[in-house]
Amino acid sequence: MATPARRFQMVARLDQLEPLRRLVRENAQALGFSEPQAFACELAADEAFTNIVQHGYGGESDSPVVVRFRPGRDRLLISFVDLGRAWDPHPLPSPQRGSSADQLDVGGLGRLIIERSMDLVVYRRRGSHNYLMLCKFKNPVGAARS
Amino acid sequence: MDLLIKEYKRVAAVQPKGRLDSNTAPELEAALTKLQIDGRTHIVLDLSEIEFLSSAGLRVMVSTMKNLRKTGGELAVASPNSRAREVLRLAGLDSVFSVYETREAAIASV
Repeated sequence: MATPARRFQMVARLDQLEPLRRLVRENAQALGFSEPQAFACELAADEAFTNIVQHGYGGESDSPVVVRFRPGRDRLLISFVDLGRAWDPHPLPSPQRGSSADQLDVGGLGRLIIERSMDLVVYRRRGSHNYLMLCKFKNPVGAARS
Repeated sequence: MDLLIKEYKRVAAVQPKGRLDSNTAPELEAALTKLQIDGRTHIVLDLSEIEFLSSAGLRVMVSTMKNLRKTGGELAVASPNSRAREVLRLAGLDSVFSVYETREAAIASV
């Protein structure tokens, strides 16, 4: 039976990362995700939350970040809602691989990790709200990317 | 996160233990910066005890590597556990760093 959806009201502070990752792991483990799958979800959630704090809100504050977990039978859906500046979670083309040290540009690394960790990443800006949805399938055959 | 620093004759080895994320990466950055100010040009970063590594930690690693190479130095990565290896791979940085299976091998290389 699927785990019920859960909603958490957090604040835009980096000390929230550890409890966030713990929640992600609990939800992923409850669905029977493998260790690498659970870790991928933790990593993507960490990067998403960090982006919201640092780029959306421009630094730590008590501004709200709502995190929802919607487990399905074969997937974990994690969504974030915040009131920060709009930001695009989809990465620019990666310059990292094969670059020399001098050419390395580490901007957008978090977005790259989100994209590569999850099976589906959807971002919408509606009014003053950012909506980010991350989805990981237990058996990702045929899973689409957005 | 705890940081264990051991200084050898030519090399300083830094071992972060615990979670290296946006909240803790500044501690590692400060320690690596201090070693550079102290004249260390060859540093081994031992990732065997890392529980979590995010892009914030990777940015510190890349920045340190760039700075060291400007002065003829090097940052070598030693003993990355499976999680650290996966993050390096996801970020496309696995071929950018010199990665060694053991700390001893990393120290010998730099």
